[in-house]
Amino acid sequence: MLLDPTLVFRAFSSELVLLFTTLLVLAGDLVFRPRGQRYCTVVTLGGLFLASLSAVVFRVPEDISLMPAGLTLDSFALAVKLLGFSLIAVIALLAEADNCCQSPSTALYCALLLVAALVISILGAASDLVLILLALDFLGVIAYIMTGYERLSPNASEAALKYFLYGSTLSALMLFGFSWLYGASATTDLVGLGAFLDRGATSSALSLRAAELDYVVLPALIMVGAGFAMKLAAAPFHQWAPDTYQGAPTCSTAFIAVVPKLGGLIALIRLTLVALPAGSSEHGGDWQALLVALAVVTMIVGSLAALWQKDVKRLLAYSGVVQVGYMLIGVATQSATGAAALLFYLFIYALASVGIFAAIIAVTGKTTPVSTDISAFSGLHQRAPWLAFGTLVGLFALIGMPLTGGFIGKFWLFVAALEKGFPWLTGIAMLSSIISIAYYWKIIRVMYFLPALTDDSLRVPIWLSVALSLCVVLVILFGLFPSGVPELFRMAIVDFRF
Amino acid sequence: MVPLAWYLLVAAALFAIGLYGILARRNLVMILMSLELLLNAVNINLIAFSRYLEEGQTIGRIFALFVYVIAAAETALGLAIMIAVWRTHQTVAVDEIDALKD
Repeated sequence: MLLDPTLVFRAFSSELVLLFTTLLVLAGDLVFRPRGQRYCTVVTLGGLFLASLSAVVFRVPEDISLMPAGLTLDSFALAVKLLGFSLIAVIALLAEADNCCQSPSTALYCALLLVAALVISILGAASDLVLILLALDFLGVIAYIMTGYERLSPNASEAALKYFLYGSTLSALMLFGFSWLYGASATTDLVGLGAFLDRGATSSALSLRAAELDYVVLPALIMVGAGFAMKLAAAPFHQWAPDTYQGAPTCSTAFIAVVPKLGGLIALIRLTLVALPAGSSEHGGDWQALLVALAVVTMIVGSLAALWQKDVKRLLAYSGVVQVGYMLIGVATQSATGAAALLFYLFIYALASVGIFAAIIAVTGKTTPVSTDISAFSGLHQRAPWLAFGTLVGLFALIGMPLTGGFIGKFWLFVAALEKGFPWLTGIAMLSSIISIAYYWKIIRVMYFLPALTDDSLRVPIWLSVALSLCVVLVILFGLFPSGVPELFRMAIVDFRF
Repeated sequence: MVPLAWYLLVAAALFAIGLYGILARRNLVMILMSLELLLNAVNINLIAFSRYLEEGQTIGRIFALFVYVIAAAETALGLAIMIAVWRTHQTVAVDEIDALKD
């Protein structure tokens, strides 16, 4: 089937802009190399801005779909694009400050960020198993490269190795699950898959009775769930996270903490709401049980492990595990409200963590730090008050303190869970929020109540301050004026095409 | 015609062997080869299914082509990471690469 070329150009305008920017960065680096990194960052930021702009301006009419291409261009896809582009722009600021991890090629790092933005924007619209899998794996590959970006650092290569082995094994497992889903339903399209699972029949290849179908679909769903759990660093597949966070260059850590989680969660939302909605079939119920179990295990394991950490990056890795547990509640509700709450909370989580990672870069230096022990933050309040305050706001948002966006996000998530009748799940989430105060307090105490190890004041690079300030302001703004924001995110989900 | 179940059994066995290899081998090269086995098992599944489904079912074969792309990309990256690990650790035995831990 042929598509109208103008329509295709409109639909892929932001992707084309990103692709063009990537080429511009790489080619420009060859030309302007002596003048250094500023060029790459400026072009990257400009490209991301233009891409967001063209995503908003060239909206595809709602009644036209690109189903043959496996893409559903609804407002959810648009919201994901805007979220992803803005987060990657902030990470690009971090990369500039980080001097791109002391590597000869800054351009390559910026190009990777741009390609990651491209993958996210495809992933937001992907409604086909083939496309979801390709995009997720591609995002994984980008993350592995970024982890091992400092080739000469033993820690970075070890971190990349662990991430790679975990990631590729679990994505092969997910692929195996997909192949069984395909065999059972004769389609890879999410809508078709949902309709098939609804009918409870089977495809012509596997002549199974309805009762036997469970033996095929349930293991496949478990494999798919395991793959997603790895992408999100949800327990029990989170073991790579602390090592990778610690070993990777810090701006790559910020990337790993945010972008693969964003990618995995948006794919998970679409898969859940389109193919496996609650109540439509018993498989939807199984999937919900799986997600709830994953959320509970993730919250408990993450909370308990985070309590014993002495390294900031490892601590944030486990705290990221717990945060994913909260977000999985949003998916497990299998409702548009839950998905909207998740998207909002994800945004706040991402801003807060990127802010904290910016502070870590400022404190422990540009390259893969030898040590990111919490004691490095001692007396940060005296050395760099704004940095300490920014970290404090980020931690408060992660805890879910009122007056930060974290509170609104958590509140909304919990309301969505209560609406769908998960009081005990909300209880566990509350409990792990309370426990989280204990481990975040370790950083706050060191920053504000311990004397500094050295007297010299900290020089914070300007890009880093900009990134941190942006995160802090947004987190507080969303917390102070919450009324409009949930509506905005709800709108993103409303015209979700089922 | 060979029944579909045979293909599926071969694929499952291959997948199990690959998983065993990843878990039990300590040499990175062997682990990468086991990863290939996993993806090849998936491909057998996909192609067998697309053959035995209704006439004209091509999506499975196209899916398998994309899986090859993924396999190639991941292997290339895996080898690159292996070289980086070799340069920094002078070993590719995974149980000796354990500097990062709690």
